[in-house]
Amino acid sequence: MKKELLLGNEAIAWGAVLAGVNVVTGYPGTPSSEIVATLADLASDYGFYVEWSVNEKAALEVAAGASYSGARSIVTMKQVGLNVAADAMMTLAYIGVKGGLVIVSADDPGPHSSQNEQDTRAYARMAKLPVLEPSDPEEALRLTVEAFELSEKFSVPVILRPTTRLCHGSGSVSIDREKARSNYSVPRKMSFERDSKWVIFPALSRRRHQGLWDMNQEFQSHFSAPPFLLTNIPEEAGISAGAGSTAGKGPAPGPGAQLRYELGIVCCGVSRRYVKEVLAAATGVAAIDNDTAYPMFEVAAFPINAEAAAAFMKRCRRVLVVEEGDPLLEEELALIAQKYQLDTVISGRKDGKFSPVGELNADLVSLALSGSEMRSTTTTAQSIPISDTMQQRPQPDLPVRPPVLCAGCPHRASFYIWGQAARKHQAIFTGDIGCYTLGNAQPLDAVDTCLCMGASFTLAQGLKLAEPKRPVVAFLGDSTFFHSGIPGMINAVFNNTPIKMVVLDNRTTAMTGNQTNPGVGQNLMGKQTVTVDPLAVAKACGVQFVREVDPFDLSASIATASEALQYPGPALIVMRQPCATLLKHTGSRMRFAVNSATCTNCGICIGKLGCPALVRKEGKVHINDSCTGCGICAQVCPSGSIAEVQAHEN
Amino acid sequence: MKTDLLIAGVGGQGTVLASRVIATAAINAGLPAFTSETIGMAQREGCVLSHVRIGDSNVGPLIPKRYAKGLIAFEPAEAVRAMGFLDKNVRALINTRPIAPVTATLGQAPYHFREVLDYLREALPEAVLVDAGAIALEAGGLKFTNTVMLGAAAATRIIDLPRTSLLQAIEQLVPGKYLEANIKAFEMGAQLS
Repeated sequence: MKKELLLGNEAIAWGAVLAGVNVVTGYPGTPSSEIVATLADLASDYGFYVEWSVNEKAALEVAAGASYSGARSIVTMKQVGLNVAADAMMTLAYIGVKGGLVIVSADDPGPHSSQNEQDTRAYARMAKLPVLEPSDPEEALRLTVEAFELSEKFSVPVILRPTTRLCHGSGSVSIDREKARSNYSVPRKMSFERDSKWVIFPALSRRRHQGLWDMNQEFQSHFSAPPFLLTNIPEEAGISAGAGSTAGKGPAPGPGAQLRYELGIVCCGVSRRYVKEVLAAATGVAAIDNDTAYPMFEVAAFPINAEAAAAFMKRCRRVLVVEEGDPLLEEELALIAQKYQLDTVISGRKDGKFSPVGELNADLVSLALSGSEMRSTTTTAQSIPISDTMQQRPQPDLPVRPPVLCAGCPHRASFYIWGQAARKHQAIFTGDIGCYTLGNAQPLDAVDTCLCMGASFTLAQGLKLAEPKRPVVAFLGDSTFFHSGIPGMINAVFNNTPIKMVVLDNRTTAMTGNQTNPGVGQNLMGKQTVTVDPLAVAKACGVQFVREVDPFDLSASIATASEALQYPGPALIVMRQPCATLLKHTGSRMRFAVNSATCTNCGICIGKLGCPALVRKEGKVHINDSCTGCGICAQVCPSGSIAEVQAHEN
Repeated sequence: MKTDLLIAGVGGQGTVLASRVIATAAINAGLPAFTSETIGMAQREGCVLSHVRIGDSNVGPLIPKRYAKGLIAFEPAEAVRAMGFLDKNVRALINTRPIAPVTATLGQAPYHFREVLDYLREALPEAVLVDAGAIALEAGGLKFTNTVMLGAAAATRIIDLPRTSLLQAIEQLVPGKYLEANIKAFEMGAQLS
């Protein structure tokens, strides 16, 4: 089979196809979004169903329903999405499934593009569900297939936990397309069988809870060998003791006695690759899978097998635990060591060998190992020379480059409008999750709070209750409105709290890569569908003041915003303009240019809007190539020096 | 061949496509390859880094500090930001066209462009400095900066892979309607160095 380059997320998607998946659901969220996107491209060809769901809870429940009838289903989300789906997941663990159900919850250590660094494995432990954690794209494909098998074998959902560097890293993978094709040659038999086991009641809960505990023993037994657990004791592999052993440091052990190693390494997920790279560099051995001189305990599935872990720790005076996220493996080993009365010293993120926050890399692994017996053999970045020329002079101060709203982004206009209408009245602006969180930057400075999906409306309500005299304006995007904004809107109406709710409707789910949502009239199967209009939803829910405005018409929008602020009850305003990235390829807009003859160089356009297309060129204001023609700079220009132009000038 | 290439740039410049072209070309040439991308919030004009690791199947997704044998920088300040990753014998190709962030235009944090270029000339005296932006504009727009840089990096052998593998990878990864323009940009980049 030919090798091809696949992102970790693409490999997970192909794993699902190789497992014959029937139903795919999910809600977009970095770093998980490409899994469903990849599956969407394959759906009609192979004959399975795929949807972007309205939120993660809906996604999991749709997948679970399909699975009750015997369908193989996969549901994807980012780690914070699991909070939304958790309500369903915690009891689904008791109820169980029929067709294999895989829950992909992608963690984002760092974090790179998330509100927090929560660890999906902690949820799995709470739900008592198994988790598989692949280390590279090839393994991601294989473990996805295993996850479906496991789920059907034990009739429980199985969690797959990739992390950012797996999701967004690529590697060479071979795909058995013939096998994938053959999965779909005969349709899977689907049949929901009515049974009291599908109905949770306290009496059933107690039985099923016990069942889950019992099953956890079975998971452990199942996870005693590859691909779930890879143990490597050099002596057992016929390798003489390496630098990590006690050999050479004391009297040689007598015949038949087992060596006790100074240091063993326990690792899981993408960290396994960091460890292997560091060890390969340190020992100079290219392929160390079976050759390492250090005992290795590579974990690809949780719960870990306690007996195997104890046997491993027995062979090591110390173990270093290398894991992304919280020190869960480290804690589990400590419990096992205590139970088996082992004196092995266990260190990792909990005891400060690694920072408990942020993501790991080979340099950090190298540094942790250099503090151990491996000092002499481990290469750390500090020990690698840099060139003389690199040392010659200090680095210049670098420009500060935070992510920003794109040129022509309608959110920029919306934030400018509300800033003009409301800030003079000491208004509070609550923000939400999406591109528009970037409205917090200067000069817009329009995000005073950001917590989680849908929280802008509800936080606004609380703020308004505490300070009734202050206007509170709550912003969220179209996809977030459908995800979890609607209940907050109803709460404000029901309790008659006069907040101003603004839906930044850019006709897409932009931050995660322009996914569909219920407001855009097209679903992921490519079908034209009902367009759910936030205006109609608001009216139906009893909001009395409901308006739609075009944010690129600044004066009309400011007038509507002012009117909403005057209105004594809750109000909802939809600011509607398509995302600039949707227009990039169509080139459907004109662009704007500065007339240098009349421009007074006052800088108001730059200072009020902070658009990346507005730059200074030899001291003069200039509009660059990235302009998409929203035209709001022309509207704020006091000298009327910005106008539409026909052709691109660079 | 075993090498680690770092691609530094600004979100929107197409570093992800560039690294995938290189890694796919490596696989086309029968070599193992891994990449790691910056996908997410930083793609909105933030700092982005792509790691490309070729010829060794026993490596992690990220290039360790001071390991990168090649640097392809789409923006000069981002080249400086990537310095900590570079091997002392690194071979570098740097686009000299700056992208001023909004913070600089607003005067919050200046972009000392001349100092950045002076520093690069001294710290990386062997680096190939090119105005890839000018060529990209000639090729049809700044969005072609990535393929212009790929062409130049291939010609200078910073990407030491067969030209045919690279062109084949571009054909595999670039959508049909943009293919011809990208191949033209690649060829124009190859003329640059």
